[in-house]
Amino acid sequence: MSAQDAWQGTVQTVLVGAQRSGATPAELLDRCAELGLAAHAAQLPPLVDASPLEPAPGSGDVPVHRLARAVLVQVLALDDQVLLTEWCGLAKAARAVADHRDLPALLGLGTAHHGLRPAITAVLGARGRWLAGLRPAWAWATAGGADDDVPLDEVLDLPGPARQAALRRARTRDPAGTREFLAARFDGQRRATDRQALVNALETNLGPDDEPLLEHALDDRAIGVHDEALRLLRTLPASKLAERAAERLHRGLWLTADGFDVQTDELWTEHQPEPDEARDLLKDGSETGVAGRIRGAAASVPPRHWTNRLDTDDEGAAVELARGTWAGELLRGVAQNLRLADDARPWAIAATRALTGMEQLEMLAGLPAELAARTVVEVSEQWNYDLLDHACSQLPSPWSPRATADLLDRYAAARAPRWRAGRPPAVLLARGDAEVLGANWARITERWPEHTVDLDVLRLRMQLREAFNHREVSQ
Amino acid sequence: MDARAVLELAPDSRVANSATRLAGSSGWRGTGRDDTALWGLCAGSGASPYQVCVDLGDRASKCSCPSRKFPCKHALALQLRHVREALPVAAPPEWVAEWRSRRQRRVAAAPDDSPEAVARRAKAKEKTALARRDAVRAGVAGLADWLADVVGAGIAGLPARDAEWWRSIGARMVDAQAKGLASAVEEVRHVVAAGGPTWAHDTADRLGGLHLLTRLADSPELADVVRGRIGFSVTEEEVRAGEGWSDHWAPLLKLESDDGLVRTVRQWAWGRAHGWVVAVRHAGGGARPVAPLEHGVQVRGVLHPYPGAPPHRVAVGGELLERPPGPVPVPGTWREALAGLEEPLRADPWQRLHPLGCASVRPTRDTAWLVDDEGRGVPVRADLALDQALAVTGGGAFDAWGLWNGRELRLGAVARPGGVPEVVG
Repeated sequence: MSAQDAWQGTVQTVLVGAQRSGATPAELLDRCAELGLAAHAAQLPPLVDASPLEPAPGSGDVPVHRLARAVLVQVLALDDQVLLTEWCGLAKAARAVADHRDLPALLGLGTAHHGLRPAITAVLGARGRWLAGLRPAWAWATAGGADDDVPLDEVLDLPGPARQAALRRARTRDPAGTREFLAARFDGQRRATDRQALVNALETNLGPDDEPLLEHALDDRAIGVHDEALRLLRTLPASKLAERAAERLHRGLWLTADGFDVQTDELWTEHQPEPDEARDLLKDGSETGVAGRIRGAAASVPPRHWTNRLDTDDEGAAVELARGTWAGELLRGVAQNLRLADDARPWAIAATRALTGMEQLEMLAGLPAELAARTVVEVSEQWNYDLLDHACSQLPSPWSPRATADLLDRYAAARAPRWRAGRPPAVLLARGDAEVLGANWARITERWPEHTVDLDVLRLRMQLREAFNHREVSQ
Repeated sequence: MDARAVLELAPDSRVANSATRLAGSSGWRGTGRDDTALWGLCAGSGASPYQVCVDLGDRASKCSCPSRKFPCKHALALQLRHVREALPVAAPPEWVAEWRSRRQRRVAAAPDDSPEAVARRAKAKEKTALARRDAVRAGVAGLADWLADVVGAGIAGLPARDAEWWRSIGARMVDAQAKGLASAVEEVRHVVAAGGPTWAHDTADRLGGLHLLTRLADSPELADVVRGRIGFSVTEEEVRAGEGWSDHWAPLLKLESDDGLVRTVRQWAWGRAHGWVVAVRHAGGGARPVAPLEHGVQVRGVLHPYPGAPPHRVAVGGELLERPPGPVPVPGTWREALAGLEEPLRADPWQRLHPLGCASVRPTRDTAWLVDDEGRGVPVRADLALDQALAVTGGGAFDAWGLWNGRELRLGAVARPGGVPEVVG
């Protein structure tokens, strides 16, 4: 009998007990002492047939400077996702990748927080992508990604968010093929939410070729599907919807000495819209009445419609629209399509005078980051602290140096609510340009003397900049 | 110490988080340092600032804040500030000097050296030792009876035993002043509670080990090891007063544990002339013990061995000077490495965790094994250390060091073949 067999037999005996197995406890314990030690110590490592791990591919990736790595250690300890994103952004800009030793921690964070994945993926380098392939939980960071393998035919069987993500990825890869797939499946979907999801998928890489399917969806009986299609159609500048809306605006509004007004005996003097017009309006109840119908039409044309009609530039057109009885509705409509303007700034400024605080925030959310920041600077002179803070919270980081300097001025001039007087604005310190804020350190601490953790975050951000600048200088 | 090493002292991640934030705070003033301490005043929510000071020798700290975490965020933040930018050299304020002198007084309280007092102490010590020997003897006899009962009834019933049953035998060992035996019984309880496919084997092994201890309790064989296992401790001061081993040490492996009351860190260091030694530090009250040696940093200095068997437990002696890192010798194959465990196991047959290394191993595709040049492998634990090792080595061959428990290797350090080891995890 081998020692291993003897040990197995002894364990069996100990399990049932000396009394039942006919042995004495002392004898059994002697065997446990002897064979247990032998089982632990007298081991021969087995021959392993499994194939070895493929080595990581070679790469010319440059790891970050040790100072930058030291800052990353502190950022990870601080558990601040915004700072981590900033670190990754700076490393990417410096064309450097994370140190190999930090890759497991970064992959772990990316697995736990979806929002961090794009930033982390940018600094993984070839070694990180290779490493990600070793653990199923890290598959998101591999070159292909885990969900990319889902065939288009099976995408509709996925649960809601996964289906939407897969359809958007498919649109990114093959817009035309995916459109054909969506068009073929649209009428077969019995649930309105499923049809709405198909329409929503067109938002990625939306183009003129998608217009027929969207026009078809406008005839859908479900409000959600209709409104989703209309929302997307309104972002296409040269669509049939835009032509129809332009024709209605020509027909329904005329230019008076006091600005645009409703043309008598025309469509907007009727109480209820014709079916054709109703088809081009949101059915969620927000575009009813004359004001809603005018707003809907204005939202369906690009700002260029007004510059052409008035034969002026964006600034002149914005001034003209802001004059009339329907200025509020027209500018609300235009505000929805500011991305299509040649110069959105005057439109945004004019619109903010007509919009409520919440509408202004919605408009700003739809603008490109830099334009939104400039608009906030332009229009926030009369804003209260809360509105300024909300608007700044919507601006994606990092802010440009100019926007940071201007918004610092705005914050410094704004009168903060009593409960936070003396405390520096968190969003400014977390998202503003670190160099500009660092240069204004004395001003910041003088204007807001109360010490908060936001100042520590800013200090770490400044160290982060220094770490990457140091590397550039040393190069 | 770098920022990472300082943050590792934090009792939990919340304290580390707060300390990192606080380190950049503008609320600090009066910061300074001398050769042995850092100090500073940190504004808190109260009217007067907290007085914070840290001993640079053992990183012990004192703060006037009411936190029950130890070290508190202020003590860590002060050290972080020093790491980022060295604090200015200055004369220590009065409260720092007072704290330091109080510590020194506590360490070196002058005993009464009169002959009468010495004789009285020796007599009392002898009496105490005799009383303890009798108590331990009774405890060992009680443990032997308990073992016979358990094995007689069979260990299949152990998982159904309630906490009170386990506590009663543990309390008996504590009453018998055999803390080591109480810990060993507690370990059996943990093995049973953990379950898994090998719980019966592990339990039988531990019971066999306890049986061997009861048999050797009064025997001169392995006396030092047996006394240590039963719970006869030797103070660090006694060890420091004894023999010192001067060597070039490479602390490569570390294991932290927490039994709910005390946190322990064990650190295995390779000495070029003395082989593996293990340094241990405990901390209570939720504090996180500081590793006795700066982990991963090779040093030269004197370590004092405790009585026992290799790998000897050691106490840190005087100053340790950082040395340029060099390669650490490692067995060529797993067979050679495992065969090398014979000597330590002969000297201490209760040891179940061994530092183990092997040259030029390759991970398998599923990363479950580390295979040597002979094609033989040991299972490796899937943890952060393994992931870091793979990230650093890129799947190529590497020298590996880890802690072997008979079933799997807990990786602790890696090196390019023949290169300087780097700690992972």
